[in-house]
Amino acid sequence: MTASKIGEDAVIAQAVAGDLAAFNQLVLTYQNLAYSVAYRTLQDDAAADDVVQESFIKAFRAISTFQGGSFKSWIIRIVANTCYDLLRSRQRRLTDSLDDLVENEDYASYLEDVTANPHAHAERMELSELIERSFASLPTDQRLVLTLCDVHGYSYEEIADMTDVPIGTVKSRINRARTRVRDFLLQHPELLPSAFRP
Amino acid sequence: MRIMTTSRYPEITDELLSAYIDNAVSESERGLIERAVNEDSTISWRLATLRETVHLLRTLPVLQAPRSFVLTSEQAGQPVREPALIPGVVVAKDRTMPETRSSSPSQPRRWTELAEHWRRFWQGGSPIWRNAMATSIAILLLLVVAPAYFRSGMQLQEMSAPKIGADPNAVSFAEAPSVAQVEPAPVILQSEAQPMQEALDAAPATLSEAPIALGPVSDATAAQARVELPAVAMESLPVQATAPSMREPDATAARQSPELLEMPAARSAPLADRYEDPLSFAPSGEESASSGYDAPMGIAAAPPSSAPAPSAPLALENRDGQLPETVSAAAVSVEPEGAAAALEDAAPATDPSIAAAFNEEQGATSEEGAIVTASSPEPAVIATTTYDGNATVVAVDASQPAQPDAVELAELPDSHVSKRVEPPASVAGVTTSLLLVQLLPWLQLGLAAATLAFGLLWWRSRRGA
Repeated sequence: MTASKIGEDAVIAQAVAGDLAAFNQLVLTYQNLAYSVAYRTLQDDAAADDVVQESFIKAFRAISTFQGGSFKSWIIRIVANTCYDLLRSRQRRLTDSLDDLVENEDYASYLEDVTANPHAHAERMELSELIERSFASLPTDQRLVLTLCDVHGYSYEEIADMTDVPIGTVKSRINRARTRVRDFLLQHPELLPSAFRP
Repeated sequence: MRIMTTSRYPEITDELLSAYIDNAVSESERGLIERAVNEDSTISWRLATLRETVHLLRTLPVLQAPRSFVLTSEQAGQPVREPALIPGVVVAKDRTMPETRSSSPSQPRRWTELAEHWRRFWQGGSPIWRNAMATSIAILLLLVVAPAYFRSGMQLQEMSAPKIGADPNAVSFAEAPSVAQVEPAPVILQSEAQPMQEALDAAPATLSEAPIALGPVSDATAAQARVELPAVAMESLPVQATAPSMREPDATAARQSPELLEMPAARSAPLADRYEDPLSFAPSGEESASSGYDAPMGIAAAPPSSAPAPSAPLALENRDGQLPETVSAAAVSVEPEGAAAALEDAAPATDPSIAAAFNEEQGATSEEGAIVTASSPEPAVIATTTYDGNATVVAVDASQPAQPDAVELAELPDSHVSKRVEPPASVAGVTTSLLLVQLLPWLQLGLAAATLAFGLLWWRSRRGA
């Protein structure tokens, strides 16, 4: 067990005891992950902001129910459920948010690689836009598991724990999500690497 | 674009290839996949495209939080206090945290957040189903509360107002004092009528206010006489109402009748000596309706053959509170049985006019078929009243309940009473009320089912959103 892990366990223990400062330490540790998951799921920065803030508030109020294990999985589970609640209440369509995403300069800065040449940069931006569009075409549950698996690199077991679904369901959703993204990308072969060409 | 799989390895699905990419397959599956990739170009291409897709997805950056999401004391719902020092943990100072400390309680914020959560809860789902559910709930509550409210109001009204026409079923002749219970008493003489009049005057004044709905009357005079009727001692007569509005007086009369009966019984003893048969006065000319008799509250004139044997004395007074000298109505009985024979045996009054009037009455009623009397061979009560110095005898069937239908009144000479009294308009209202009462539970049940259905549909719309 690493020192950071020991330290995190102590912070978690303090947070469970009701220490707000300790909990805020955990917030700082996982807020990027939480925001990324929320944003990729909702495809809306404003909605993601609200979801993340609300998720951390819920987490602090329910911190006494944390019974150990992966705190990260516990937080992401709260974020995922909050995303579902928001989608159900708002009934928003993902394609609408994609336009906002493209026009959002703040988001574009995340993808910008200042070290690349302009042509490659433009191609990369177009490919990123294409990938984001493929993300928007996915159902919410597939989008969530794909984000956790391929964007953040979590295992099937961790994803099953975060989303509170069986591992078989996680595998199935990941496969269907990847297949749909692949089929979507194949509609624009000019932007795809040579591996996509038969 | 769907990729057709015509490989020799149909068991190699995209899901298996995806799991292979994630190193989530068994050794046997791994060997199968590797062998299939080497032998089948389609499977190889499928694996390559999936692998590249995963690679592209993994190139997506992990987004950075645009701001700090650390919680304030208000957000956490805690009073501001010094954060505890954790050994080995450096607490980052959050600039967004408020510098000033507040000791205000978190209760208002909790209520605000609760209200916000409640608002979000109701905003979710389809507004159509939500509004439909709310409407059905409101109508259901109205159907539940309104009848109870009106019932309580009517009960209070009945309790506060004098009973001038209660339900005849509540005061049936079966409950009325029988002949054996009531001492027979002759007609009270005029001299003894004053105390009676005083007692009657002391009767609830509302009795006079209670309209006696005898139905449309073509004769205006009869209507006027009808209105003035409550002032007469008829209230003491245990008459049987045949119309809804007449029921209240029945109850009052029935309840009061024992007392009033006792009074005349005590004082009219001498009168009893004069008349062996209380019904000996039998509607003759003395008591004819020519005096302006207005049959009170559905009393049907009965033929002599159906008149009951009067054994209970009743106060007999005219409208002015005075008894005519020729009152031949010695006593009036509330006995439901045997009265007809007694009346039949009763000697006619000495006043030939009364007898003639009574004979005419017989004919009239026999022709028209009085509901009460014609259908009842033995009317129980003979109510006698005098108006304008004339006495009239009518018989009321005590064995039958009050008939809400038309009450036929004997058409007596110079009578101010119409020949036939149409059923009061309130009967139609009673019928409608009864219909509503019968349908009310079904309406409530239907609305409850509709509320449940709309609620389920709304909940589904919230969950399925």
